[in-house]
Amino acid sequence: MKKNMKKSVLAFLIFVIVFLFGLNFFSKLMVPKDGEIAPAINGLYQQKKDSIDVLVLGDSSIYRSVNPALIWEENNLTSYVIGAPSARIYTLYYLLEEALKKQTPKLVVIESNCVFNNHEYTEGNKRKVIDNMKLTKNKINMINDDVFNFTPKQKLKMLFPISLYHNRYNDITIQDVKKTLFGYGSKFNGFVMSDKIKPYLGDLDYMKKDTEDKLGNTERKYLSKIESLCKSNNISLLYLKVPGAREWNKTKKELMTTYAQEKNISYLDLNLNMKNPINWSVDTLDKGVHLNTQGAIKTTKELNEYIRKHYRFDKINHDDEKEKYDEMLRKYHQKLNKKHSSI
Amino acid sequence: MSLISFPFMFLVLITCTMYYIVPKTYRWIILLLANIVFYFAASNWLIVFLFASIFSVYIGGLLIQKQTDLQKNNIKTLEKEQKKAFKNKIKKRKKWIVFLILCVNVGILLYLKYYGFFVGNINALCSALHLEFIIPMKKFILPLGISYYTLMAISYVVDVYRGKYQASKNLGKVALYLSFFPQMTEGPISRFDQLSEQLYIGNKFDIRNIKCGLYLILWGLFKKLVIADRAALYVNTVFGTSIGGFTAFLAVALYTFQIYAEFSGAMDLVRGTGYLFGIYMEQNFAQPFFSKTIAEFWRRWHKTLGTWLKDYVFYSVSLSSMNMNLNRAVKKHMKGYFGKFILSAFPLFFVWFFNGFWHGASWKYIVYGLYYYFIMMLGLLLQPYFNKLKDNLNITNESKLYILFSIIRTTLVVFGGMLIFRSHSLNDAWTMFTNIFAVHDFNILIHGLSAKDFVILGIGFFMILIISILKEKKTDIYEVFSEKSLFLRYGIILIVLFMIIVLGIYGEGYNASDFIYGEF
Amino acid sequence: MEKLIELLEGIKAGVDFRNEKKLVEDGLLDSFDIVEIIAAIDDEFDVEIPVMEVQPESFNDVESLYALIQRLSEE
Repeated sequence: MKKNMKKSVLAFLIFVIVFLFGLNFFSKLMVPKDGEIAPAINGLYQQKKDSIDVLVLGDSSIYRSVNPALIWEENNLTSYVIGAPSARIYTLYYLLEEALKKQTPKLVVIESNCVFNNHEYTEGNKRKVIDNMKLTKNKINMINDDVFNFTPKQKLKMLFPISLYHNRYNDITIQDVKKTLFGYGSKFNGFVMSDKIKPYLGDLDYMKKDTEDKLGNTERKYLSKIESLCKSNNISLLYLKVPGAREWNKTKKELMTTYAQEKNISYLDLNLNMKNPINWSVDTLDKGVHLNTQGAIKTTKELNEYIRKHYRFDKINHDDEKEKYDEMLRKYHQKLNKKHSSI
Repeated sequence: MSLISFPFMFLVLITCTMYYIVPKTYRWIILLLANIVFYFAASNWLIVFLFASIFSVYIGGLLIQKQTDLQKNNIKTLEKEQKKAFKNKIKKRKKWIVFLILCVNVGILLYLKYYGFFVGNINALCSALHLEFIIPMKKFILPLGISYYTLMAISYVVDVYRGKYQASKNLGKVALYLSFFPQMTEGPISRFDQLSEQLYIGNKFDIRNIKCGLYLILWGLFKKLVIADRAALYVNTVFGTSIGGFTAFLAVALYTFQIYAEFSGAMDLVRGTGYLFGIYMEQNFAQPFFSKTIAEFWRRWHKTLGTWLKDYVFYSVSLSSMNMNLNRAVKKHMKGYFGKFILSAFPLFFVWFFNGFWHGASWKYIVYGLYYYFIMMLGLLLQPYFNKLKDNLNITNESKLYILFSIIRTTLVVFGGMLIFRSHSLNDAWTMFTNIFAVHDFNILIHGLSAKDFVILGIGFFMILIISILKEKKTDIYEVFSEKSLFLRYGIILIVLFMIIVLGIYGEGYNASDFIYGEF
Repeated sequence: MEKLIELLEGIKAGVDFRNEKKLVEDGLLDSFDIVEIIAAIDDEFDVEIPVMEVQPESFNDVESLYALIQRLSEE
């Protein structure tokens, strides 16, 4: 009798464990894998431990502006970009926490635009980040953080993404199953190429404009959280603003400059003083919101130069990663040339 | 509070835990509290109507019982002549009491559920007769389950009147019987002598009951979420449009499948919940789609409604003096088969009228009931000719092919009923019926279901079919399942569980479709 | 008793009323047959069988039915 009882309990425990694994598998399977952010976050998990030198976090403008292949080509540094659509600074904080579990970057670059983003932060855009994160304490903290404004019902749905995505069963392909089983990632470490050109026809004097923008207390709080996280992990921190004719202005720049000075943190604004400035009639893919591949070449070059000038990293051994990054660079050039020749 | 919702699950979990924690003598109080919480959450202050039913039948039952006891105690002391007079007096009194109690209960139901129907028809009649007489329209929110518990209330007083059992002196027992929360939404229509004792005595904890209950709940969820709600996606897009041909026929077939999966799934859920408390409730379905005749179908489909109608409508009418006199008159003038026909035709009309009208307050539902009535009567009338034809063709009732033919024939007739049932109006039903034959249309993949969905429905169909065949062979599914190895059992549970989670139609992107039968 | 069997055979031919013990439970008699039987008993025996007495146990075999008629006619 006692033996039977033991067996039943054991079987039930195994059942529960298998159920949880299954639930996790199906949840992952059903979460959409398209778009830019899903491959970027999933790709981050695929990176070898301690293999990233420079981690770049921001909103959608960042993955159109910073190209890890070019950082590798010019500076021989490994890097990874995560740009989450309409990300706020607090989103970046949790992404940084997530990345630091496995990585020990020398430099973290934060796109400053996220401090001022004030258009609607939709549930969908929040979910694009959260649903692709592994279910760990960090994710639970994120879901529970009041700053995201989730209702209890939304929180529950985020803990069980399958409750939302299970109705995608008709769209699931064998590719999705493969990606779920073996993992998948971003081709260019988070950077997304685009050869589209849609000129920006608006005012080029945006850096001379004063506005009512302010640096809010919530933003300050998460900025300092990021700062202390970097400090305690011995990571250099750089606030970067990539070129953005529609989103940036003088007031924001001044706020950021003052703030960075106060905190004694480097701040690089690429909306001014670029050696090879953005040509807004050809370097943008959507009328000044995002840069295209050509714009990214200019931006990354400038960032590369800044890194060379300001940071002295100890000699890093990249033997393990060399092959992978060379291959990524080769593919990048291949795609770039193909596009050029086809025009 | 829907049967498939977190609040309901939560209520069941809490009630179940409490039930087994408190001493046996108090367990019924936990159930009663759960019933009140459930009902109040679902219907708010409309709970007063439920209380009205409970009190009326409780008091009515006691009054009738008093008369019965009076008769029993005094009859022996009386002379034969007096005896008869006394008996008649008592009988008359009892009849009055039953009549009053029925008036209260049926009256509430008629007023709340059928007010619109009657007033609408009276107004239409008046305007047709050019009378300037209009009764103002009113629409009521129906108290949850009123169609079900009213029938149960009636069965209780009538049974006490008929002397089937004694009236309960315990108000708690009557209240428990009429308000047991799992059966509130969609039945089954239980009987007092079958259910009340089980509810009242504290059942002891038995892991077998819990397992059995959970299996049933899982199976019910599967039928509802994976099959019924999926079929509904197609049904809802096709019904009410001018789509015809096979596409429309498939919609009718899928609706039949939907309502079966949904209603029987709900019953599994309800009975499973009952098992968690060690309470056995009547089966409401007995593999109806293996029926060879329509009469058999209705003995296997919504069984508790069928037996209720048999006990309280059919026997009441057919054994009434009116029917007996009619019977005598018919026998005098007509002999043989036709006489027999009239004898059943008269009471059966009431049965099917009630059946239809109970389902909803509109002519559509009345026609729905009478549709079955006419088909059955036609079958009965033509039976001698069919028998002759069968003899001539050398067909025996036992031949496999004939059985298959009968099953398909019955199913097609049921499709007809379902077509009426689902259509918005009789007009719509007729249009759809003619459209099925009028056009060629095989575009079944453009109405909300993909090929994958049809495969899933097919798998669901075969799962139901296998279970049905096993049940038809009188297999105890629980026994069979329990004897399988632990590995296989958990494996099957996991598969069904994940089919529900992944392939169930729930959450955003779908309209949460409540159980169809909850509306009645 | 013989009279009753004769009556029953008149209503439903081909059923072995003498030996069958589960007329209702085995589906040999349905509710229509029962109504007809009750009507016939009313005619032949002048005994009214009230609804409350219409239980499967009373109609399952001839002996029970006969006993029921006896009891009701004595009351």
